[in-house]
Amino acid sequence: MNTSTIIEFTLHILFGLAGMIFVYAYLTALLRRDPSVRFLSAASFSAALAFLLSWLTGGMYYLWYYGPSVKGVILGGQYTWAHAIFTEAKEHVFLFLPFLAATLYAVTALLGDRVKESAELKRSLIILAGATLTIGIAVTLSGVLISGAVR
Amino acid sequence: MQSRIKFAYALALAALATVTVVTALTVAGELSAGFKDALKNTFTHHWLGKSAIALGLFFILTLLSYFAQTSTDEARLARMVRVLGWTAACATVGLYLFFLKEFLH
Amino acid sequence: MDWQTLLIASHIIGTVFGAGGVTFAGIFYLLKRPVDPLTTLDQHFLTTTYTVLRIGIVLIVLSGFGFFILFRLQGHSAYLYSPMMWGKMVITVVILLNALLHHWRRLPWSLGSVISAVSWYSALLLGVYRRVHLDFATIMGLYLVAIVIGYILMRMTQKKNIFPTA
Repeated sequence: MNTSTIIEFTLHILFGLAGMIFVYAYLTALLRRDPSVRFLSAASFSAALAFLLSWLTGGMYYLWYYGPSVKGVILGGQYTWAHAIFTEAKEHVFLFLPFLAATLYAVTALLGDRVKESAELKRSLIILAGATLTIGIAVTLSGVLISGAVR
Repeated sequence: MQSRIKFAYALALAALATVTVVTALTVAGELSAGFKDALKNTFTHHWLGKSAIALGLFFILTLLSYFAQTSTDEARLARMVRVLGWTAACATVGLYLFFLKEFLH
Repeated sequence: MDWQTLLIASHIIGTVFGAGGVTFAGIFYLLKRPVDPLTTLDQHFLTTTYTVLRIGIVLIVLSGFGFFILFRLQGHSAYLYSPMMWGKMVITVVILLNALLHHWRRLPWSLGSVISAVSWYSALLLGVYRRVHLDFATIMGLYLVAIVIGYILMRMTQKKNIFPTA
């Protein structure tokens, strides 16, 4: 890998992790009896931005390096399922994350204190944040499986 | 407050549509080589095509559904957010299972 | 300092914060009588402890993935399929989910604290004994057994109130 590819690869992972950390922080804060709307807005905005940047850097790595140089290695080795199942699923499922995080931010920022006053809205945001976190964990673990298959 | 609820609803609806369309495009691309090639020919890579469609669809639908709404309330927004969460989760499981099935065949 | 040394240091510090935090929180609760209400000082202590614990988990996750990146870039991808490593990852996810359920008040405190303590020390031991070759099923089996034993011991100490009051 050349330097720019290493940077794309590393930033994709770090931005993705940052997004997950912010979603987790959002969910933890939301589950409190009296959540801070300011914190929730900041966390969800940061998550959306992080996923966006992970999307961009991941796309660059995927199109310019993974496709031409890595895919063939995996498909020619003993872990073909790593690409066939996990890359194929991950590259599409990842596309959900920025939009889910953007929705979290929009609802939180636009509705403000109603997020903590309305039990129904709070419960819905817990479900959405929980789904985003779960999907993020699946995508992250898929990434580990894919990288481990490159031998 | 009403316009804020309307905009939040529009965005959540657009996100739901985006998740659904991305899932449909993915499955269609795997089941039809011609469709995947069409995406590749238009956007140089099928994944780039899906990314572009997802982004474009999200922005356009947000604006369209914001202006198309007559009225909405918080309960409807809460329901939409819930549906979005569950749909994304189910679509994720569905896609993993789909590619598992494709691999096994 | 090279990247590997930096990552090892960060990982160790994260583990110290996490395992240490969960230990102090656990000892504090065991020494405190259930009938005594939490004072402002108690709450401040616990808030600080949990903040340190959270910093620990962030350090663990970031440095852990730093290792993954390093293994991948250095051509040691095989480590990414190590059962010990996957055991640690699963345990880390359990720590995170346990903390969420605790915040959500969906888990009894006694069970949550046992899961937290066993998880941190299991991850620590998996790191110390990383050259021992155990398969994933064995690691998870031992982990679950440790949680069960830990919970039984916790309930026994609570019933007998064997620790003196602070």
